[in-house]
Amino acid sequence: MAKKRWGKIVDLNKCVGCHACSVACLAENKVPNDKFRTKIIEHEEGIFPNVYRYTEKWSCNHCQKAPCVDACPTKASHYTEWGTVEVNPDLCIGCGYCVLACPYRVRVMNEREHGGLPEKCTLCTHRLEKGEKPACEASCIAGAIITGDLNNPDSEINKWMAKGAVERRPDLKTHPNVFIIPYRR
Amino acid sequence: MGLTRREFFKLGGGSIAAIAGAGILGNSLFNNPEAPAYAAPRIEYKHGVCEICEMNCAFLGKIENGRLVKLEGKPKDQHSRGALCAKGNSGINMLYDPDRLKAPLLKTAPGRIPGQDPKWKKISWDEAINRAASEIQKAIEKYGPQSVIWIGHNKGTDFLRAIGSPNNINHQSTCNAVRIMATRITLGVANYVPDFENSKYILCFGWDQLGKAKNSLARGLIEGKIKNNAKVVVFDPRFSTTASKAHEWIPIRPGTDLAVVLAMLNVIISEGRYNADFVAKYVEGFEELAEEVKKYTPEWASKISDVPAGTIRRIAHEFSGGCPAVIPIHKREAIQVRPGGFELARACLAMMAITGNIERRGGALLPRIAPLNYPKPKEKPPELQVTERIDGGHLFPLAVPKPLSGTGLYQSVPDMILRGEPYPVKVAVVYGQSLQSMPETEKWLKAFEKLDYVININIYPDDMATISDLVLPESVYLETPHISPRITNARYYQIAVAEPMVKKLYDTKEVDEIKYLLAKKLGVDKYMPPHGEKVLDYKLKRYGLTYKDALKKGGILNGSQKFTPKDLTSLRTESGKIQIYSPKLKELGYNPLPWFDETWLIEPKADDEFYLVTSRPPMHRHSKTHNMRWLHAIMPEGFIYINAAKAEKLGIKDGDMVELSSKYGKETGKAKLIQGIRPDTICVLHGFGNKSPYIKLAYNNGPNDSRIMPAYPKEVNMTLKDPVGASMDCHVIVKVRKV
Repeated sequence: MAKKRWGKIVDLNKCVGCHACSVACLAENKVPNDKFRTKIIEHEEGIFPNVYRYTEKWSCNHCQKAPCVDACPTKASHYTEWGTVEVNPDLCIGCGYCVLACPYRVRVMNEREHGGLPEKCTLCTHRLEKGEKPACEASCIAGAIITGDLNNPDSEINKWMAKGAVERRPDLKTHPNVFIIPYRR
Repeated sequence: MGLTRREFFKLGGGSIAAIAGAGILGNSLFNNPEAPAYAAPRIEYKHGVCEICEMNCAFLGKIENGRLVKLEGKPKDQHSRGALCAKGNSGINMLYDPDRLKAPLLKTAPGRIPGQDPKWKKISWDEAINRAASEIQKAIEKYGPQSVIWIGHNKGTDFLRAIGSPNNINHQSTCNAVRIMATRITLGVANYVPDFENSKYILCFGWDQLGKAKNSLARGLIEGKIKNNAKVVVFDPRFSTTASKAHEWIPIRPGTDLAVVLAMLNVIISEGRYNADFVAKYVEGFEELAEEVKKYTPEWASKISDVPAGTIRRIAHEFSGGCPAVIPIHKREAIQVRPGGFELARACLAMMAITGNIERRGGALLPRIAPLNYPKPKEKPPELQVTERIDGGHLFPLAVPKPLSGTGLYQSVPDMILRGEPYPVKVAVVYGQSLQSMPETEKWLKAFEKLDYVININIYPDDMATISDLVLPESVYLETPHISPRITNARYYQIAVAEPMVKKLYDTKEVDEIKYLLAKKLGVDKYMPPHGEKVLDYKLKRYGLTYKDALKKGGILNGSQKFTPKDLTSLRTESGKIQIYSPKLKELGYNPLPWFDETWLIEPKADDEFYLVTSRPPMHRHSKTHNMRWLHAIMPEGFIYINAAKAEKLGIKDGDMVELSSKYGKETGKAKLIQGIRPDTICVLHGFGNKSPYIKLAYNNGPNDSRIMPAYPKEVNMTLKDPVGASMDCHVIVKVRKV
């Protein structure tokens, strides 16, 4: 069996910016101090009355060439067997290099019991491995999020890929496993 | 390799857990969720129903070691479909909120100033009920039972009937009264279900349930648009979230949607684009409507609404092209907040009716509401001696068909209390209403000042609690069992059942129990229906199930999901058909058809004058979610949207404090400059502006839109020829000044 590569697509044409994903993530992962791992960014462009606006779910892109992994001095930030990026809290010294290294600015430092620990999306691999949807996807009221195995050609996520999913900032050559379907007016 | 600091601590934690397991330290460590790092948590799931908004999404609560940690939507529920919005997800915050009311509190300081230290004294439930009952008794003896009013959510009806007061004051006239009454006249039901998923044309007038994160409606519209290729058109002075997802946004002049809909009716009828078969079979009053709308030409509507006549014609053509089309209406949007709101709701229904889009897939469906058995009191309460209501509801037989029932006239209450007309009011029980929900708040405060005693049933010590003489703590929905038939947006018959997630954390009671205890003390408990857990089985009796059975079945009882159209000739309307022309309205002295009166229009005259519209952010619901941690972290304060170009002219920068003043009051708040709003309109986010320091997160969190809104006495409602006595909230021009 081919190795799994978990990925995620957010369809910005569906996202209504309701923050359900950010709160569900906080609850699922028991993140202390209300440091959101996933944020909603609002874009408004144009001039009245020719305005357009869209919201974007913003969280770890799980890059295959991740600057945060390169920057980590203790190998706490690492690639998992499913191609996602995670932090091993036992190795993390809370230096915050990864927070600065991430070109997408999706990491945020949190105070944990034994020092600083960066908060980031884990793609809820603990749920994916059980056959459940990640907290954000399960709680998306607009059905704007899909996760799945990018290496499986029959997976739903690959059907979404065909609808025009793109990488965020492909110029950075980070090759993310998280994609967006851009907002079309 | 040596131990890292973290590993060392972990080992420490593990050994403590091991000792505890051996029973040396007793059981207490096991109950502490923080302590045993290595013990596998005891996880259980319980069935719940969200009570944060009226959708009542069903969910499973995940309980770890006795503590509720997460709520997850049930995929089988037609509302949640597996998802919960940010508010639903944050329900845990309300349960574990340290600021919650924990025991009955007695105010010992004089005066009723919101946020002022009430010098609360903790008292027992016995003492609280005794005091409340004796104050009510005093008022009844001296001034009659009508001097006791219940403000809030139709929850006090049985209590008021038992003591003999007609004054069931509820907020619906600032909320959904217009929609309820218009739909009841036209379709004989209180609401309808927009079938977005199967629709091809979705036309919205100010409707923004996407921006308010209404779970099933948001999912429906997005599916309709993306999967079913429906065209979405939004008329809204503000570029709402729904507008941002639409194919077309038309920034209409606030309060003129009715003119546009009437002109569309004119186009559809005059060009013969209506569904003649459907009209002949199911619609009552088509000829009269055709005659009435002759005068409402697109050119006329264009002058009023700023929408080009060509656009009105084109959209009317598209809507009547024969495809499944729907106009969703909810409340408080274009529909509700201005005079003519009732007519707008009826005009929208008429437009769907003449194009054959009622009870058609992709159009407006009649709701499928599963009936429940509601318990009756042991003895029938005596007839009310006084039926004249303080809010003047008896003058509006459509809004208040019987004393105690109906939607009432919330806005006229403070005036009547102040005038002492038609009789004095002495005691008010306020349940679930906050000062943010009271238009012309200053006037309400004066009215409360005049009362002898105010009893507040509340979850939070908000500013309503700080002005009340006695505060009774209510339990949170996660601590109580309940049964929820799907009422709003019910596309098929379904009942959801909820059990308590955890034991009650504090000394709180359900509102039904509080009512019963009060009635018992007053000696009228025989007139109260039974309450509590024993009625749960009774409610489900007609389905041959007990409450426990329903929980075992997964907490959701589903009827058939197959769509079988209902008969449109046996509706609960006057003729049994879809009623566009209403003889009943005529008999009551109102226009029997949707119509337009140009005296309803208001207009900002100077450069610093604006139309007011209101909205709500997706992560807050009215004023009840602002102290919930996660939601507060996302949106800590409210603000005022102003058009960026217009603001620059007035010298207002993003984040500046501005003062809003209307005829009715003043309020200040932070300005947020955006492009997506008409230059002559400001939008205030509703629900903010709590002044009580006892809910720490929500304290002083922005402008309270109610303070600049009017609370008209009943006379004004009558001059505006509004049969529902509602829809005046935003009938106001606001001056904006930088401070």
